[in-house]
Formats: sequence, C-alpha cells, structure tokens
Amino acid sequence: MESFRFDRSDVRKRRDMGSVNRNVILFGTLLIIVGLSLVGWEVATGMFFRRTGPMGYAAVLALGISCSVWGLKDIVAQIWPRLAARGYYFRLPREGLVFLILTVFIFSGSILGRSNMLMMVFSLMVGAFLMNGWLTFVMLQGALTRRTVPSRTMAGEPVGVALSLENRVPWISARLMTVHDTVSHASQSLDPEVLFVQVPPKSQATGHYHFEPAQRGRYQFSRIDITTRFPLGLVQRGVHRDQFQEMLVYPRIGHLRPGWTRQRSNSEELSNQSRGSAGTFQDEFHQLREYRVGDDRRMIHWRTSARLDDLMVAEYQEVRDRDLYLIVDAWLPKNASSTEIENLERGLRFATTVSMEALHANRHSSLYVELLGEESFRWHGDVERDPDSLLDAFAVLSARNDESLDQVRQLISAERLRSRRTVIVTQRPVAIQKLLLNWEDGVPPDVEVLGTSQAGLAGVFADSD
Amino acid sequence: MLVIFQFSVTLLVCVTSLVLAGAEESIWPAMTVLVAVISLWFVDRLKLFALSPLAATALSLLAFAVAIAEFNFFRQQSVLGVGGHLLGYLIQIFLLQKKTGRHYLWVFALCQMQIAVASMLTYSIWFGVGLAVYGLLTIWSMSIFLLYRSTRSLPLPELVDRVAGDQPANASTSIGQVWNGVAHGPSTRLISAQFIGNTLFVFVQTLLIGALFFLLIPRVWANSSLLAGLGQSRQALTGFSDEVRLGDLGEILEDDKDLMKVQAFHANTNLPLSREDAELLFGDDPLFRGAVLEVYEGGRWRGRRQEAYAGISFGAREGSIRLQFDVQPISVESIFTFDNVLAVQSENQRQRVMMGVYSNVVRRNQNVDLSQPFTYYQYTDGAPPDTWFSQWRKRYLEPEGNTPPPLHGQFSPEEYERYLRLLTRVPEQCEQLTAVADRVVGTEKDLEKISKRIEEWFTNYGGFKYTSKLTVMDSNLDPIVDFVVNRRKGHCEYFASAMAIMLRTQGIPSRVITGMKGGIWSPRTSVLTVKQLHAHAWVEVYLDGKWVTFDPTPADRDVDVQKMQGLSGGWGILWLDAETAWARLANLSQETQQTRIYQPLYQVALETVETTKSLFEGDSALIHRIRDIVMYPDRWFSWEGGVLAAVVMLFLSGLFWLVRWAYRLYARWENMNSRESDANQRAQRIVPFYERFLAILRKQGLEQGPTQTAREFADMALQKLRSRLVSMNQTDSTTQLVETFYQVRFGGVPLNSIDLTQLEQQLNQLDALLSEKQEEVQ
Repeated sequence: MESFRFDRSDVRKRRDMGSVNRNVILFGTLLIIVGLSLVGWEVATGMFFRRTGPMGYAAVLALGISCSVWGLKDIVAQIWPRLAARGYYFRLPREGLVFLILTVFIFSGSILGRSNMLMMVFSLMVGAFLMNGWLTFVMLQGALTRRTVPSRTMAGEPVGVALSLENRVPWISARLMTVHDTVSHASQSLDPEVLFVQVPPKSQATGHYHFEPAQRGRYQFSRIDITTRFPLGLVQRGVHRDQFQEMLVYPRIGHLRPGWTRQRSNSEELSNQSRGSAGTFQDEFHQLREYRVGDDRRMIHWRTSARLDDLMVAEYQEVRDRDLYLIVDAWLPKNASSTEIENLERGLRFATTVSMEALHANRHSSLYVELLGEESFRWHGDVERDPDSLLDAFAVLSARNDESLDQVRQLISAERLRSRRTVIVTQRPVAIQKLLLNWEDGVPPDVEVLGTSQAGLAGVFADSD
Repeated sequence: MLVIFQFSVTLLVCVTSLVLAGAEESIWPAMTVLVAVISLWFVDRLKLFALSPLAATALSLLAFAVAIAEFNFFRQQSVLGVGGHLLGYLIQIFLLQKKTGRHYLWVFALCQMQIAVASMLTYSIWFGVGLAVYGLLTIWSMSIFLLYRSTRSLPLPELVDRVAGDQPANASTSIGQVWNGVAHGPSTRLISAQFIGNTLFVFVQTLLIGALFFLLIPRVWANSSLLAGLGQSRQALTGFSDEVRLGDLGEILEDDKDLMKVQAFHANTNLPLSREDAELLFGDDPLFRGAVLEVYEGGRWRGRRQEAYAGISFGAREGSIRLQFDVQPISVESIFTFDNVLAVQSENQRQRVMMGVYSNVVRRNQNVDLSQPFTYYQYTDGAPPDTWFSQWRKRYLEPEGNTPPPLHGQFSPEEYERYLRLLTRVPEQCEQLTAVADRVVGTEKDLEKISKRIEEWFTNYGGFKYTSKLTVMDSNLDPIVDFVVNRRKGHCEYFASAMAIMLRTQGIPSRVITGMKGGIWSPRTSVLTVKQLHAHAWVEVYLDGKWVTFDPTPADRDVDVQKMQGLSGGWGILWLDAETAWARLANLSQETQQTRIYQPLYQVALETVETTKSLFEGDSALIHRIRDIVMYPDRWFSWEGGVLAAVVMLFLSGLFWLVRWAYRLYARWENMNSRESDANQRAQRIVPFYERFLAILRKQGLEQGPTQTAREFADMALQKLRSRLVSMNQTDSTTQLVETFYQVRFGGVPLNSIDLTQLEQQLNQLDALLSEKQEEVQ
C-alpha cells in the first residue's frame, strides 16, 4: 500500500559532502582532550580508585579512553572519509537535545542534592536515550536499500523512482525508516525521500517517490541515506551508501504555433497543386468549391451538390514537405545572464519540438540536425533509424562560448546546393543575418534564422504548461 | 488515530500529577488530572474552546505570580513543592490551548520535570511504581508521537521533520520537484499488536539499562565527598569527620562493612572475659562514643576548635577491664570508647592517644597514618561514661579538692564555663524550636525531667518516625526545624540534633555524640563486630556536673516486628521484602556499592580470568568438573549444568558468527574477483579486426552511434560509401566482415589463422582503397 506525500518544491541546497566539517573536528578534539584529561587525572590522583576500588578505576579509564577514541574517530572520518567507509552517523534532533539537557540537569541535581531517587529518574532517562540509540543502530545495520530509476525521461514529466528497503535483521521489524535519495544536477540537488513505516524481519518493501525534472541534462542519483529515530525520536542515526546512477532528461517538448506551419507551407514544394482525387502521394482533402468551367467532371461532389442544389467540386491537395535541415547554434556569451541561459534552453526546447514534430508528421521527408555546442553532433534522418541518439544529444548539449561563426558558415555553404529547408535556431540571430547579408560566396542562401528569445519564438513556439 | 495519542498524553499527565501528589502528600497537584480530562474532552475532542496564545501567556505569568505568593505566604511550602505546583500550572495552561507538536513536546518536558521534583520529595516504594508506569506511558506516547509525526497522520502543524529554513525554490533555478512517498508495509494500521509489543520491549530494555546505570554510577556526592576529596587525599568515615553535614550519617546506615572488632580482657590476668561477663558488659546495644559535635551552623555540626588535649595515662585500676579495639582504616583522628574511660593507649607505643579535656573525645595523634588499621586498648570499669572524669572535674572545679596530676595545666575552669555557655547557644535559624520545646516541657523546672520529657517526646508521643532515608532538604527552613515542624521522619542524626537544640533553648548544655550503637556478638570467639550500619548519634546533657547520655531516636524495630506479625499472607511478606529492597535502593551509598556491587564484580572478573588461565594451562580440576557434569545426567539440571550449557551455547554462537563472518568475507572477495574477471572478459570481447574496421571508417568521418548495432552501422556505411565501394567491389567483403564479427562476438566462433589472414587482407585493401579515393577527391 502506498500513498504520496505532496511536498512540492522541496528543493534543498546541495550537501557539501566533500568538505570537512570544522565543528565535528572541534568536537572530536574536545573529546580527545577531555578523555585524556580524565585518564591523566585519575592516574595522577587515583580518586575513583580510592573511593570505588578497581572497578571504578577501570570505569573511569574506560570512559576516558572511549572519549578519546571517539574523538579521534570523528576527526579521522572527517579528514579521510574513505577510512570511515561504514558511513554511520548520528544526529541529535531538537527533542533529543532538550531531553539531553534535562538529563544533565537532573543528574547535576541528584549529585548536588545527594538524592538517590533523582539519580533513579536520571538512570531511567539515560536508559531511554541509550535504548533509542541502540535500536536505531540495530535497524540500520540490517537495512539494505536499492534504487530503480528510468534511464531517460523528458523535462516536466514526472517519473517514479522505486526505492526498496530490505530488513535483514531476523528478530525485529524495521520501523519508521526514511530513505533519502540525492538527485543532483547543475550544482543543485534534491533530497526526495520515502518513509518505510514497517518492514518485517527478513523481508523487503518497496516505496516510490515521484520526481519531475525541470531541466534537461544528466541527473545524477548518488548518495542514499537511511535514517531513523524510532522509537522515541530522541536520537537520529543514519547510514549513507553511494549508489551512482544516471538519468538523461530530454528538453521538454512544447507546441508549435500556426506560425511555424505557415512558414512551412511557404516552403512546401507543389504546395498549391490541387487534384481531383487522392493520389499516390498521400494527398489530403483540401476544400469544396463551386464548379468552374473546365473542371474535371469527376471532381464533382454529387452529395454536396444535391444538398446545395449547385454543382460543387471536391479539391485535393498534394502535400509533400521539403527535408528539414535544422542547425542549432548553442552559443552563450562567457558571462551569460539567466535570461540568456533561459533563451538557450528555450531554443533547445523549440528545436527538440520541431525535430519530434518532423519525425512524427511525415515519413516522406527527412530531418537533418546539426547541434553546434561545445561538442558538435550530427544526426541525419536519412540514415539514422533511432531518434534516441538525437534526443540524447539534445539532453547533454553544452553551450559553447566561441564567438566564431565559421561552423555555421561551413554548414550553410555545404547546404547551398541542396533543396532542403534550412532553419537556424540561434541566440545571435542578428549576427547570423549579417553573415547572410554579407555573404561573400555568391547569392545568399535561403535560410530561416530564428532567435531564441521569447519574442523571437513567440509566433512559432509555445512551452507546455 | 489522533484519539489514541490524545488519550495517551492525558493519561501521562494524570499519572505524573498523581505521582507528584503522592510524593507531596497533598491533593493540590492532583487537580491537574481534572484539567487534563476537561482539556481532552472540551478542547481536543469537542473543540468547544481553547486558550488563545495571549491568554496562555497571561496565565503563565499569573502562574509564576501564584507560585511566588505560595512560597512567601505559606511558609510550610518548600521550594520544591512550589516548583512542582508551578510545573503543574504550566502543564494545565499548555493542555488548555489548541495544541501543536511543540505544545506536546513542552508537556512531555514538564511532566519529566514534575517527576524529578516528586523524586526529591519521597522515598516511598509507591514512587517507584509510579516511576515505572510513567516510564511506560512516556515511551508509549513518544512512540505514537513519532509514528504519527513521521507519517503525517497527525494533523498537527509544526510536526513536519523538515530542515529549518527550507523554502520552495524559485522555479527558474529549480531543477525539479519531488513527491515524497510512504510505504506502509504489510498493514496500513499504524498501531498494531506488533507495535504494542515493540513498545513493551523498549520499555523493558529501558528499565534494564536504567537499573544498570543506577547501580553502577558511583555515589560520589558533591559538597561532601567529592568536593572535600579534591582537597584531601584520604576519605574520612562519613559522619565522623571534624565537620558533618546533617544527614551524612545516613550514607553509611545501610552499609554492613566491618568497622571494628572489640574484645574484652581482664586487665590483671590478660585473660578474655567469660561469655556471660562479656555479654553482661556490652549489654544489648553497647554505645561506642566517637566524635563530639558541639557547634551547629546552617545544617552542619562541628567540634569546638579551642579544645585542649591531654594524655590519658590514669592507669588501670584493680579489677578493671581491658578492651581491645581493632579499627579498620577510617581516616579520622577520633576513636571509639566504651563506657567509663580509665585509660587509653595505642598498641604501638609511639602512637599517642589523647583526650579532649572539655569534650572528652579521644583521638589519635596527628602523625598517625590514618589510612592504616589501628589497634588500641581502653581500660574501663563498666561504669557509665564520664563517671571518672566527672569526679575529677568536680574535684578540680572545687578549690578544696585535689587536682589529679595528669591534666594539670590543661584544664581551665573559666574556659569550661565558656564551653558550657557555647553549648547552650541556639542558632538564629532554630529559634522556632524554642516555642516547640516550651510546649513540650510545659511548666517542668527540673532539668533532668525536662531532658527526659523531650527525649520521650521524640521517642514516644511526638509522632516521629525513624527512617534511614535522607530527609528532604528545604532551603527555606533549617533542616532541624524542617524535621521537627514538617517532616517528622529521619534518622538518629536528626533526632539527636533536634533534641540537643531543644535542650539548649531551655538553657541546658547539650552536645551531639556520633558513634556506634550495637554490634554483632560472637559467643564462640567472644568478639563484638561493629559494622558501619551501627553508626548512631545521641545526646549528652550536662546535668548536675555530669554528662548524661540520652538517646531520642525511637525504637522502630518493635514496630517493624509488630508489622511482620500483622501480615497474614505471602503477598504481605512479599510486599515487605519489596519495600526493604526498595529502601536499600533508595539509600544506596558508596559503601554499599563498594561492598555489594563493585567488589563482587571485581571478584567475578578476577575469577573468570583465573579460570580461563587455568583452562588454558590445562587445569585438570576444571576439566574433570566439566566431564563430571557431562557424564552424569542428574547434574545437568543444576546451576553448574546451566552455566555449562550457557557457555557452550555462547561458544557455538560465537563460532557460528565467526564462520558466517568468514564466509561473507570470502564471498565478498570472490565477488571482487568475479567482477575483475568480468572486466577482463569484457576486454576480451573486443574483437580486434572489427575495431580496425571501425577505425578505417572513422577516418572517412563515419562513427558508430551509441545506439547503433554493428549491422545498422555497416548498412549506413555501405549506403554512404556505396559508390566508392561498388567501384572497388568491396560491398560484399564489408558485409561479410560484419557477419564474421557477429559470429565471433556473439556466437563465440573461433577464427583460424587462415580466416584471420583473409580478414587482415580485406581490411588492408579497404583501408588502402578508401585512402586513395579520399586523396583523389581532395
């Protein structure tokens, strides 16, 4: 049984996993000093030995050494995380902190007030605290988690990520275990989580969280944390495991506006050749009109003519697109503003939408795509059979900062002799228009240049909601 | 679901309030029960009303004001009592509000504090029962709290476990959104039988861990042993040092550690007294006089500082008795004397023993090593204490008498006058006892009868009860006044102190003596063993020039016997045993820990080490013993059989764990190896001739796509290079090459040297021709 907790926009800052936590080092150093001082003091004065005998002496030494070792462990784990590969950690929640303060307060009261009964209350509190810590540790020790994540998705589309938790402890249920995932992209991260209310002993449960990526690119799924505070909520312990997985997110597909279709119509060959009947070129019904002298009689649509009491002819139009040659100039200035970045992304969304539209709309025309980014990519629809590679390329395309238009010029030059419809999607339409106007090599080629600004694409493209 | 949680919290508050009410012996804290029930019904369930935050704040301020007023106007109220009431008021205010998670957390914390206050007010076993119930309810309520909070089943704000400061990110910088999930597991019911079982398990474990801590934490109390110990290296016997805090003696009253052994001999013949004579001498409860406490200030007794000491070498009289004291290290200078002191001398002649000429306390010289056992002799004639000295003093104080030579020059009549005046001084904070003493004494003028009447008031009709438990300290009242006016329960130190001060209010010089009362008489060895638990305090009153002993502590022993006789069934005995055990726990002292916990544990550890050592050394006795147990089935069901079975099971468990661990280690190693081997195999799967084919085509600008199969790529390449390959008759060979690749890569077909040579030639030809063509094009 599953339900979902709707915590939208739960964006958190990326955990600085690699950095050293100075507070922990400070705490560790303090523990070492306290521990060694305790040992040194007892050895020098022998106070507990005289009062409580060898057992007290041993207890004090054990306490001091434990403190020192714990402190050293904390420091080592911070500086060389690989040495602390087990990945267990401890956090004191607010309630736990208050509880601990109360415990210390009551202990001090019992010592100062010489009250055995207060010491009894203190002992009960310590018992509860330690029990909480121990149980969380036992549950975590037996917990094993796995993630199942789809390899590809589209930005804006929610995907379900399955997290399974296995409880290997044979005698106790794992309760209230929260599995936190880490999804990172572009130096930001998300921490989705799945709460496992109960996983019986020696069994496994699977829960899902839904994730809706907002941007294209590679999303890394890395660190998985399992945390629990059960049963009292006073101590939170966790363990982290690194499980690296990746998901490619394609740019989000939007809607092409009628403007794009109009532009397409202008470039269609044989666009207005009407025929009296559907031909071999997948002709489409175009319109009904009045009969004109000279029209083929076979074109007469008798049923409509009878209804209107006038001769009407049915006109068919042969539609056959030209091949589309899409050049995506993924260029960004060096210190790009957020608007410029968004413009680039819009351009890529548009280009992806156009590509998908072209692939789905007509099997008789081909799509050719040139992606000019940090690394260029070429996809030719006449030989490529799998659009996934194109989408993959759209997903991972990185912008280039190079001001040069040489690549664009070369591509246009090579295209001159062909009759393909050439569309350049760019963030620098003015520069490219200028290039075309000042074309040195004869007649400027017939190229459509579309800017990626909101205004530039307003007539042809709309993002999905 | 919410109902269960609300009921649990209400129950928790009720139990806490009742525990406090029981501890305080007052109905007032129990009023919280009423408020809790009203709050549950009208605020939480029916939602008829709730205090606004403003009203709650105002009421909280009022609660503080009421507490201060209580403290100022009701003088009987202790700070703790007032604190407990204040906590109760605050709990009530929280309950009457519309509750969030934070409110419930506050209620939990305040309940905890109330229990802590209650623990300071009582020693009753009922508190123990209440504490256990409270512990169970707290664990239950907190578990449910966490359960609902985590699953968001509890519709309370502020319960979301979020990192503080998390805000929804700006959509333009957000990388996405998440919908967290919940996996309920086998059942959607949050509170199941398993959950209840789990809570009980946690409770029992908590009790066990708590008990362990309680028993093992050394009772190194502050303000006495600990702080005093920081300044001195020796530990004085509690209650017998130069300065004693009222109540200190209680620490050793449950300690059965041996303190000293006393034997009686005829002084002349040096032969031990006959059993009858010895029993006659010591009686039922012999008093061994120890330290003398003369000045009382702020809950502390101390000896007078201007004491003069003189050696006691009066000599043994004809027919006197010599008592031999073998005292354990007690780290105090004063030593014990019995009855009338004729002379005292150390076994070691170099260690001098002296007597205070005013207090008559006998103490060792300062150069004696106090951390060592000490043996000394006292000569007595069996007369009451101060008999000999009072005669001497009488003669000394009267000019016509002859001053005995031993104390010549040490004793000053004027100083003795000052000494007696000091012993009639009543501390300011105890002035309240004057009225009490006047009421007890009435119109009686005779000093001895006054003393007797006050003693009887304590022992018989004053409503006092003996208890060895530490009495509650009230900072508002002097502990003695608190004892006489309020509590009326305490141990001998309180009784003796109260009587001494009350006598002083009547102008009668009195002082408190701490020492030992009773002992364990061994008829076989004629040795009286005195333990620390025989520690006692009594009063010496100066009547008619002589110090007379009074013991105001009630003889509650008879009451206990009567109580035992009144019990009819086994449950009663059981309850009494429980009460006794509880009293021992409540009075757990450092000494008890030392003797009953630490030392046995240490012994067990030592024995375990020895046993293990002997086992490894092949000690035949142990092996024979084990063999005997195994061989004779009738010994299987004995404690030895149980221990052996436990050890064997532990050993087998350890062995199983070790084998499993080793297996897992081996499996991990194997896994690593297989991964490495997989990597090698992957490397081997790279077919060299196909790689070369790819390299040739790469030179022509043709790359195999990540999702393209070899055949698809070959098709594409053929299409692109068709015109050139056709002219070179290479199309078939290219197709054949790809097919061969499939056979090798996926079919595992091995290639012989002829095939390889042929392929090599084809590739060479293809490379050469394509290169030439390219040059031509250029």
